[in-house]
Amino acid sequence: MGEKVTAADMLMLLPHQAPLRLVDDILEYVPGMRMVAQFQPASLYPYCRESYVPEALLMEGLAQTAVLFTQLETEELKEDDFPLLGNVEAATFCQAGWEDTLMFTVTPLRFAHRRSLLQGIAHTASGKRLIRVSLGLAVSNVKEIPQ
Amino acid sequence: MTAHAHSTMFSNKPWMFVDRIVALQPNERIVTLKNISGSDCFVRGHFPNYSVYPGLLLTEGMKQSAQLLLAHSGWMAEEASFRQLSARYLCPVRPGDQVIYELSMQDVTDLDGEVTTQWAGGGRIDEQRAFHMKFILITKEHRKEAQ
Repeated sequence: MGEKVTAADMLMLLPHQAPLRLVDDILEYVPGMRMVAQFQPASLYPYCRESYVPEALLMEGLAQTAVLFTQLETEELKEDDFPLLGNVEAATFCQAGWEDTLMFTVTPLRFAHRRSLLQGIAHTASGKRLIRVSLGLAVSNVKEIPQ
Repeated sequence: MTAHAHSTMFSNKPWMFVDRIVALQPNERIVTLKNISGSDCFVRGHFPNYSVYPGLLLTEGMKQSAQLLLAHSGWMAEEASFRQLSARYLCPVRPGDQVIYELSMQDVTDLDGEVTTQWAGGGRIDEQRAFHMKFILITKEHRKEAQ
């Protein structure tokens, strides 16, 4: 992609749709270095109604940010491609409230053919650190999966 | 032992990722199951061209299974959160699959009302291993008084 790609252009690369679409905006993309995405979790509260944002949603938000970052660093998903989570290692620090604005920052560790390894951290807009992860992602294709 | 899980779960619809308790040994292990359906609201946008059950909801299913075992072992388990997680996903889980969660409690520590439990287990579809994980869960309630 060229340098004039906008946040809206980047968001179009995310295949995830509601209700489990956990990236609202891209705040920063530094090629080769990092991506920072933002998400307001309040819209998911009716699906969950827990007293805090479950850690699974924080990890999913980081994974979706990693899917976007990986495509910009390597290649876009092709028709019938879909991303798969291969592994996750996570350590949590504190819980997020539903009214918090969540920030997902991912940085690369390694990119290989249709596989990537990244690390990420979720925090609130006020700087409260929530969770740290390392994520392994892969790209699969509908035609590769036994039907 | 086999029992519908919903009456003893702490989560609210649709944030419920266990359908049935298949086997349970208090303070030791639990086996539960989840039927994956294409009508599941979380599958709707994951993804538009193909349906894959989100891996991090499988993680949430393991956490809810752990909460069920805690509750059936006399522990308070309403407020549970991950402290650490290590998970590996081996194959896509899709509508029509029945996921069997198998989970063992490895250790438990009760320190001033903060109960820390360590878990190891995984999930399978038929005889195929779909994922495995280890995690540490924190609950912040004292053990129930003997009934």
